[in-house]
Amino acid sequence: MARRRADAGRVTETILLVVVVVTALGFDFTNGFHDTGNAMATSIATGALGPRTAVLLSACLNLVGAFLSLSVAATIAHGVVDQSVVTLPMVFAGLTGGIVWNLTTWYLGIPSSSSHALIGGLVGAALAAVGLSGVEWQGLVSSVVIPAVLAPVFAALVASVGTWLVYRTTRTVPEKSRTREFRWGQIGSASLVSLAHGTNDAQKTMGVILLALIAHGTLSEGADVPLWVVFACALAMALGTWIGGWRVIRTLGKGIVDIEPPQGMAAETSSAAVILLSSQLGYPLSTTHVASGSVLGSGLGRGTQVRWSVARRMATAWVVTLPAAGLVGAATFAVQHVVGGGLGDVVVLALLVAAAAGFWYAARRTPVGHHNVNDPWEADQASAPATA
Amino acid sequence: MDQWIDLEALGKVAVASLLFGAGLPLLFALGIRALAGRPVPAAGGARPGDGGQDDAPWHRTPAHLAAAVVCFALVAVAVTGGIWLIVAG
Repeated sequence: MARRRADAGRVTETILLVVVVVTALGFDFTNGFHDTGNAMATSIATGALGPRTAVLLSACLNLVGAFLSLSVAATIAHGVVDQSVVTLPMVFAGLTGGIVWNLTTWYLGIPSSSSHALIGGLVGAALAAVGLSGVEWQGLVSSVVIPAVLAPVFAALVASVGTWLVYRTTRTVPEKSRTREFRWGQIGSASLVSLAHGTNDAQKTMGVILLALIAHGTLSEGADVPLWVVFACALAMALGTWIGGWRVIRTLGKGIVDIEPPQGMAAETSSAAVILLSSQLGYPLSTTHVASGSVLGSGLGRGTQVRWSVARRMATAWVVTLPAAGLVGAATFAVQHVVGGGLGDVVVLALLVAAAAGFWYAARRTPVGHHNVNDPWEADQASAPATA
Repeated sequence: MDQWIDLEALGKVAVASLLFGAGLPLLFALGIRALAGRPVPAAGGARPGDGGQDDAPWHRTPAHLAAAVVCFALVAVAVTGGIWLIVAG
């Protein structure tokens, strides 16, 4: 009798593991489409690449990027949440928090950090499950919060200096050839950002799946990432990127500043440099924060109008992301816990699917796609839900 | 305090980012300027350029071309280095 109950528990655990892996891939997918704009928004805005070509190129490079390196795959699991207390339901709740927040900000067209959404969700779930001791506060502050504040500032500074230098250097070059050649530079720099994004962000999901496999006992602690996990994560992210988060692309490419090719190239180069160098020196930065900071800085460097209202809304979302995703993660864990057992997981899964469907439906009422991503910014602001 | 914020690493990131993030666009821009050559002085002494006189004649000497190639090659080297940085992780 006891044996049979133990077997039943084992089966439930395995089903939960499958659900967690699928949910993690779902998060990876939202991460891909939420962040397409980081690399491609400026190229789409200046016409250097057609919208559909841009997302396809970005998707391919994200796919390649995911295979380039595995060294930071476990970063997200280290140093943020106490690994010894992690359980499958906690990972599930954390992922749910990340996905729900990503969909919310996507609907509002705000470029917010997917990494923060994921970390926030995990921290929230850990808080709900074991309390204050479940979180590595020092790791959270030193490797997430402080870099999050500094990254956009660095990126904006670098991009503004770069943009100023570029315009200063080429001011006598005829407009037509300048535009044409800088478009090539833009495509190159944006490609590098896509590659870096694939490497950084796909690995975060790989880390979460690894964490789940270890929590379940399929893998022992310190195990390498299995190859199927790498493949699945790379594909999920590439697919998400290819679908394209047009709402976010629009805000980044059109909303903050109006972008010309030389400026777009300077912005993307700044993003690529800041992301690659900081991850090299051990700071897992948010690609989104860096890209947004760069775009804003490039506007300052060119001396063009910056729409501070858009920038302010974005900055607010950045501050809110960690606690908001945390709240959803904690609430999810509470629901799981109160309902209990396998039924709790089913309820949460149903709620998650319902939320995703709801956002998708709401987004269809004011669609943003490759057809209207480059429309003038002011024109649709009167009717857009994003201004509310 | 050092456990909460690593000023040395942050300083390194800031300096290196500025060097590469702003330096590479500058190199690329220099390449484009060299590639364009220089405006042929017009008869009246008026100088074309200053953004946008596409019909004004421009002249590119071999030296211009060589300078442009050097600039673009340096950019290419830096980009390859960037990719290597990703792979080496």
